[in-house]
Amino acid sequence: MASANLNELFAKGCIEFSKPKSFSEAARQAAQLLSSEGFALEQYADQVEEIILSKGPYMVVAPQVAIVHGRPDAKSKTGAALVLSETDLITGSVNDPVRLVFAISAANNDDHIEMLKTLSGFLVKEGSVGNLLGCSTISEVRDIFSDNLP
Amino acid sequence: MKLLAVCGMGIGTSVLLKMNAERVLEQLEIEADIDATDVATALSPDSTAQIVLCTPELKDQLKGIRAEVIAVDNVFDLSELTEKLEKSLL
Repeated sequence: MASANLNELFAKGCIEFSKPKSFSEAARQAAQLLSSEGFALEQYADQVEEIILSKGPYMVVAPQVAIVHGRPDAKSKTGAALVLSETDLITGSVNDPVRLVFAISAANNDDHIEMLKTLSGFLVKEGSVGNLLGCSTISEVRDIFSDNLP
Repeated sequence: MKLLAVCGMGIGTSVLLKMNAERVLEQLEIEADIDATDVATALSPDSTAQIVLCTPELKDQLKGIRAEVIAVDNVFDLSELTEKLEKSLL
């Protein structure tokens, strides 16, 4: 099950600073982190990119923030990944430029929704996005996630 | 009162919209039933929703729908959601 503790949701290796050339590259990278750590299937990045290319940037849900995902899948595990882009990513959304790309994977719908709830509980707090954008190391990101007491 | 929260697949962005709109409607003491769904389902002629919530990029895809479409820029901004829902509901 997804937990209220953000640091448990983001497994080791699932937070990365990067300089992607485009939003879809950043989304692929975030999804790939989940695949590399054994949470999502190998083709997860393709799935996520396909959704972005076919349906547009509606997953840019707040200024500078996108949350990407495919369908929950029994062969996947529940987890989250974050790519912090050092470049401004232009998606065509009103919330451009995007700098934080979250990817989530889940084994089933309930876990998927529980994880969205946890992420939303964090991102709804004023200052969360700004705090993440101010980070330059993974341990700083972890510290911000740790401070997110329910 | 029936609302739909809509996104490309009906399980991500729309669920975030649903969760946060529910928080806002509870504070406004408005009883409402919100379902998260995808664009195709929202466009079904059988839909009885009065209001459809989405992110701005989907607004064009919902053209022609009977319900009022409210585009939410920041799904985590409860004051934006409050302002927009109050405007249509109160």
